[in-house]
Amino acid sequence: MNILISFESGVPIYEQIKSQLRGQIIRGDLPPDSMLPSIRTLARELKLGIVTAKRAYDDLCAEGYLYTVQGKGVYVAEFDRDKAESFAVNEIRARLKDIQAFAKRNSVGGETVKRLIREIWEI
Amino acid sequence: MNTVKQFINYFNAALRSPRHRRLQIFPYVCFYILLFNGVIFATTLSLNFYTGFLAFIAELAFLAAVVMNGHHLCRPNLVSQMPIGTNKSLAFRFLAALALFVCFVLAIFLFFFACWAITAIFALMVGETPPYDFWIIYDEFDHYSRIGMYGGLFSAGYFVIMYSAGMLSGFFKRRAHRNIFLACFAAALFFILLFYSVPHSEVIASGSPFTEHCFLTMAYPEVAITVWLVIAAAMLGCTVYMGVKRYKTKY
Amino acid sequence: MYGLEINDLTVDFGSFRLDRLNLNIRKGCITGLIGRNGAGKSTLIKTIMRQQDANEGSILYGGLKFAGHEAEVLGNIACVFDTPHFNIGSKPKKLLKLYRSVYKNFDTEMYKRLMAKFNLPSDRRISKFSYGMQRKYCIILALCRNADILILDEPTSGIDPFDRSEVVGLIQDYMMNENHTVLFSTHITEDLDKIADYIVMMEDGRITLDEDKETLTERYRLVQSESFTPEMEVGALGVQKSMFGYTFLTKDKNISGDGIKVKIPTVEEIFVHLLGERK
Repeated sequence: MNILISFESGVPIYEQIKSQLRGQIIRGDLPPDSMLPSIRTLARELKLGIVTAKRAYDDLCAEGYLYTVQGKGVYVAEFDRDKAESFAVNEIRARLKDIQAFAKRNSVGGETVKRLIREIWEI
Repeated sequence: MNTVKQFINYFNAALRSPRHRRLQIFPYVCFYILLFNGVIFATTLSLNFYTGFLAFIAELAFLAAVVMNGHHLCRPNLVSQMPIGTNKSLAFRFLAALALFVCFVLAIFLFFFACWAITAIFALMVGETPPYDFWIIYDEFDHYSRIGMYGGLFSAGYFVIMYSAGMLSGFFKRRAHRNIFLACFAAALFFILLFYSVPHSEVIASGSPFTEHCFLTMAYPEVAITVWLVIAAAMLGCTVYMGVKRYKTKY
Repeated sequence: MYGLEINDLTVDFGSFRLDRLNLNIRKGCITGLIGRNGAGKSTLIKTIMRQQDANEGSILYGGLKFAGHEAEVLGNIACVFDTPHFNIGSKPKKLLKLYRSVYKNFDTEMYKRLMAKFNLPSDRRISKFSYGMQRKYCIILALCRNADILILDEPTSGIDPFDRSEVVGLIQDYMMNENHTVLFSTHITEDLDKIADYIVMMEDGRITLDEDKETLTERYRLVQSESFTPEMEVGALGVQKSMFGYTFLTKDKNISGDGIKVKIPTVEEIFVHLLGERK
């Protein structure tokens, strides 16, 4: 389990933890039913607030990536591929919307963007 | 047993509390001490050393109380962070000053004993018997320096007053107020001792109030000693009241 | 569950007062207290530690009233004051002896380990220590008491960056126990940014902000902009003008445009801009 945090990136810390954990779960680096460090350990190791660490875990629990066993700890949940894929699709859509907005601001046409994507994809 | 241990810890913690600025300016305290001493020796000048010594011991109580209650002035301090109940900490506050006083007295006695021992050793070295016996002092009282019941009561009252005054000075938050209090106290003490020393028929300073003789020349010695003890009790009561008022937990 | 509950606390000095303060310090969390010099942070901490009388109000310590429970309460709160609360003419080994006999939970092993870690000599008078060493010593003494509530008044001031991060680590180690609560005041908001869970801001003896750090930093955006348009002016807080543009805080999360840089502010930036707005 690796988590790298940047305080300067403009992305909330708990979002950074969430996306990195999620990535590792989806890729299979963190197999189902493996135990994660406790909230306090996570906070201590990353030099974060406890509430921040707790929020990341709670959100991932709500999204179904993790589950908690009362009094024992936090574990990686069994997840289905479809859900992970639909999540990834949503994420890509959100990012593309950012790109669209940026392109509009800089008066770059949709065609150019599509061409660029195709270019990148082929390489 | 537990309480005794707690008290020892308390005493230790009090001595390890930060020094208040006033205690760093120790000359001030010494000035007061010298002033009082001056008063005492002025009123007992026609007499022997021993009654003056009683007054001196009472001054040690004053000094101990100033030092001890002075430690509490400086906040934050260790003592206020001791995990003990309020009543206990209040009682310890008063007892700690007495404990320091006992330490002072022991130190003084050790000092005198050492002086005497050195003299005795020198005397023995030259082959003579020691010049005096340690207890001979006691036999040399004549009727002018006999303490008696009145002198004893007066000494006790004097001790209580000095101790209370020292403690009270620790309750003033402002230095100016404290200095005014101490100055007034010194003046009052001077006049009290002066008037006590004036027998009704004879000349000034013919007797120290620490002796029975002084009281026996008065027309109403019982009244005089009662008034004196009432003053002492009032000051002690005032000290306790101030302590409770200031440091008892209210909320 | 709260570690400390402060209700309607009023402390009056005449020229300065804490005015009907209400504050709950959550158990198991780190609460950071910020504010300008003279905002009342130290007064609040001294009042909590009973070094200062309150005129009105009440404080509950883990549900206990102070009156009647003095021994339990004082045995369970450790505090690092802004000045050492012991005579600095003492030597650490003497103080260790005193602390061990006074506080039952005192962890001597940990004390020795930390003294070695921070290179503090045990047989030199504390007055001979440098300011930073004295601060570290106070923190060590408080930490080793293993109290449930730890209160620190500017613990990291005067400590070099390396040791500061060690101290921050120590506080986090202490927080590994879920029953422990930390309240600390600081000017070095960098520490807060990292480890604090809740931020309490004080101004002129009042609490003007009490929120968890994530919600707080996410509510605002720090905007750096070349120009200052009327639309921006609507929600702009604490606008700072420089030769090259404007910097301000806004609640508008969707703010965007040409020549605009937006980021999530740090606690320090929120603090500076909110105070700038009040003036």
